[in-house]
Amino acid sequence: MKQMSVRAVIMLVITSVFVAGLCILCMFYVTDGDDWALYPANTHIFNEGHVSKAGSITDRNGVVLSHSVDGVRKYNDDLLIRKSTLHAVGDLDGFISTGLHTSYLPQLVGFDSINGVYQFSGTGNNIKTTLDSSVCQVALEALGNRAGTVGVYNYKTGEIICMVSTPTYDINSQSDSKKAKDGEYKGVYINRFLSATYTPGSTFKIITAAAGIDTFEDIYDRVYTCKGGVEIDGEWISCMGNHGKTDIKEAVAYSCNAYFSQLAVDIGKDKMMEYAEKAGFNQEFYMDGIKAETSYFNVENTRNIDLAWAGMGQYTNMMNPLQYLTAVGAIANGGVPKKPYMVKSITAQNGLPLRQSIGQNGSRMISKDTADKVAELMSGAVQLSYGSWNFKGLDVCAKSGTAEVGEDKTPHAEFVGFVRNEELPLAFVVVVENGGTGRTVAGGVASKVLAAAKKSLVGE
Amino acid sequence: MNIAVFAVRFIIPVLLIVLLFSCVKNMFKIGKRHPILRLVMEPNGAEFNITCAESAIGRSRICDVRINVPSVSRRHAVLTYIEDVGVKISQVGNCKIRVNNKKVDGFTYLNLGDVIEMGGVQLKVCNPKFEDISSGKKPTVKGVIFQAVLLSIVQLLMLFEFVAHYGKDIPAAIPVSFTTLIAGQWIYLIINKFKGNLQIEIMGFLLTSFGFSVAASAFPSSLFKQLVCAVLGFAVFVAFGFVFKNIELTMKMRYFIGAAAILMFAYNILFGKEINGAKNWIEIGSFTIQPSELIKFAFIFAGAATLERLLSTRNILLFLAYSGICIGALFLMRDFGTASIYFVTMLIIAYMRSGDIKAIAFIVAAAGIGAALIIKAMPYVANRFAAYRHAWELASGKGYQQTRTMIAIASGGLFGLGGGEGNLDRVAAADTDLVFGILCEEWGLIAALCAALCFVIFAVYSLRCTPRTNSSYYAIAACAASGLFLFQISLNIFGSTDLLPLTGVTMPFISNGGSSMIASWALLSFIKAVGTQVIKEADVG
Repeated sequence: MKQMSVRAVIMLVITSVFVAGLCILCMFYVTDGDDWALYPANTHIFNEGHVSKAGSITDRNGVVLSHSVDGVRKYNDDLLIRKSTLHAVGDLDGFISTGLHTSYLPQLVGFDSINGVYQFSGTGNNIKTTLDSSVCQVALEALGNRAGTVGVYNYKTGEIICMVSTPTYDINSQSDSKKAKDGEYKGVYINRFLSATYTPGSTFKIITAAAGIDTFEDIYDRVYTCKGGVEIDGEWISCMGNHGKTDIKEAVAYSCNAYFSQLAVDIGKDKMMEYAEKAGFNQEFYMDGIKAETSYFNVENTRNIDLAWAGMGQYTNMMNPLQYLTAVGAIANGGVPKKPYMVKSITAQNGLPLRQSIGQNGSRMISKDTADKVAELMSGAVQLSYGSWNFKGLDVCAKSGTAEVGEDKTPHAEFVGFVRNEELPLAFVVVVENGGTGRTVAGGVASKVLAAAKKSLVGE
Repeated sequence: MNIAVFAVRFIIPVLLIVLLFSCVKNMFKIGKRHPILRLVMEPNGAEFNITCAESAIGRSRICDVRINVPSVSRRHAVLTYIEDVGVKISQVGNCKIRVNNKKVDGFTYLNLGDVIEMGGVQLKVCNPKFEDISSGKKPTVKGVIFQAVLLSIVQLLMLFEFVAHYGKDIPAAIPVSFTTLIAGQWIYLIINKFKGNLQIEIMGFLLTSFGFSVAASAFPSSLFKQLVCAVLGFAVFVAFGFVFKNIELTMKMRYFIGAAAILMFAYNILFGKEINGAKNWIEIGSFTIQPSELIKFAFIFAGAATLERLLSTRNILLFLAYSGICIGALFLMRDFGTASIYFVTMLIIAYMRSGDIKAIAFIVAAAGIGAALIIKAMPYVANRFAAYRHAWELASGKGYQQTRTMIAIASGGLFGLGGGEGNLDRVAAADTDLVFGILCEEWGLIAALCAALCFVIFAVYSLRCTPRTNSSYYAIAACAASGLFLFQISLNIFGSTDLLPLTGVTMPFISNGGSSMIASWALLSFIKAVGTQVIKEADVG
């Protein structure tokens, strides 16, 4: 039997191969199981390829943005709410990849690799967002037919109040959905707040100002001359006005190109890079685990003239609205950003809370002192230039931008800032693509949105 | 009700793990064999305590009684212990043996005091020295009862889930099948007084319950047929349990069963019926059966051999020729999946019989070239594998079944959705080829892995029992049967999850199908046999 015993070891080989196969299968189960379960052919949660059995998505006040009724996904009945929250909620085919229908599908249908798609009661989990659908609605109206984005968040808690991206479409209308599919609305499936980058234009001057405040102790006494522009390295950088001798307060208020190009050159490449990166340029940004497009700033190995352009938000600078909103929020919040989030809570059908979001601090961007100084400069811009009457009852600090995007194209209108009122700690970013002047166009949108936010959140 | 179903989902996997753990604990506590006799070598006085039922004597290192004298052949003689008869010594080939100065022609039975002479060496047959064998504990009655209770709870919980799923409209077959199974297994265990290596049957019953659950979920109307076939299969299992107790009867039956297999194949080829592209069905009255399933048993039955035989007829050409006929018949029936199972079984038997790894490698290489030629000559065969590793790209075409299986596996999670709650049964062949998906979806990955683990336990058990079994025949047969099981479930599980090409073979015990159920129980009898005599106390010495 010795001989047989030796030969029977072959069974050990066969068994090992089989067990190894089972291990590989289990490994795939762990790594790919969610893709398997969430494949649209899974009849447990999909009906004809559309998610059918899933929880609801509501705004901060409980307004239902989308939910499942008898195995069919339904959106809010109001056209404007539907359209303005479409990019946050997502479509049913997964074209809007950052939408909750896609990025939070496992949570919505209640899938996890331990319980599979098993549900104790009802179907899926409910997601409550931090959005205020009434503010979103106003933002969409204010943007009108123009492409762009509006983002508003609470810089003390991190809650996103408003996130609207245009163009958008009515998902309930078959003809409008078809238009979107046929490409009649340019970039309609992109949530511009998360997935676009724009030339920051003059809005970038607040970053340069922060770097200037920290670099030069005598910043308030520092004066540069504007002759309707300035010559650097033999090239002319023109300015909107002829500001003459300008200090930093006037330069921010009147967005003086001559001042900031000279200041940026004096600050130097290294310091400019440092402050841009602290503000989130070249850094990866996430909101609720959804990755945003990365902002870009690079002045290494550049000439002074490029540095000058970069210091006032042109050159190769690109900002992502989410990232830039966070940076502006940091200025409002004493130099430390709150990480923005939109998913407030996830609750099982039986009421069991599965996740409750809390605001998290990002790493400090600038000192409190610097932040307060920049805020003061931005406040001055509103009072001197934009008009505080546009923001009735609100102490708004802001910076406009008119980003040049090509020779014969209308520039992007941009407006960023925050409200300093205790009861309404909101930061905002507005981009109107090819909208024209930032101060009037994007500033006008911001004015309407903030009024709506005040009405909804404070109740006046 | 809802809460109960919710809890049962977690209880079943836990009970299964405890059950298997308990089974393994008992099965692998195998006592040493009682020694049979002792050979004392003259003149140097070297002693050999014989404990194996079959012992080879010779110069070779792998002989149980190694006599390192040049005049002794590498394999010179075989000692065979036959229960209730005695110990016989047989010559290997033309090697000369004398017992009490009388030349042995073929074999002779030994008595105490006999002197065996071979190659100038004398071996005296003496009483064995009894070692302390108390360290090996026999499986306890308590253990078997514990396992039987766990098993019954699992089966009742399965039934409960179906009751919860179907409500008042539950097809009668479901409660009838499960309760018949539970009652049947208790009667069997009581008749056996809960003694012996009953873990094999307990795992067989467990796998059968999974088989019932698949039928209950996918095709409740086929459940009665499954029940009848399980009873038939179990009858075959018990009947051959008796046959295997008598090695001489077993050896005589080999030829009949081997011939019957060939005849059945011939009948199948001539009068077979084609279903789903393979002509592997025959009709008897209103029943359709799949001979290739049943012949698996006959194939192993005829292929295994005792040590005495192995050493006297060294070549395995006859066996290879026999295998060639069987596999050729399956090719004619266009049942390539089953043909590959026979091929692997053949390799295991051939290796166990000859130990010739080079010959096996040669056969595999030849088969590989053959397969390559076939694929080249018949591109549509290769076309069947087009979806392999591309299932998700072809999710609505050739990868349909595999992707749906993976969806089902992930949907079930670790604990399953509950009996009858799966959706995979809407896919074609889900209850046979994709059955692992149904197990995972309804009972969860843990339970499905426990089912797969049963076959792993069978294989390791066969290996573990080999040194102590009563004949090489049982060792070869059990390794072949458990190897067949493992290869077949590999094709089934990994084929349906796209880790291997989808070949469409069944999962023993679990796939819906009568022939498969009978064949599975029949094959299990080999694994039962390899362990059965292990714990019997020897009566010579």
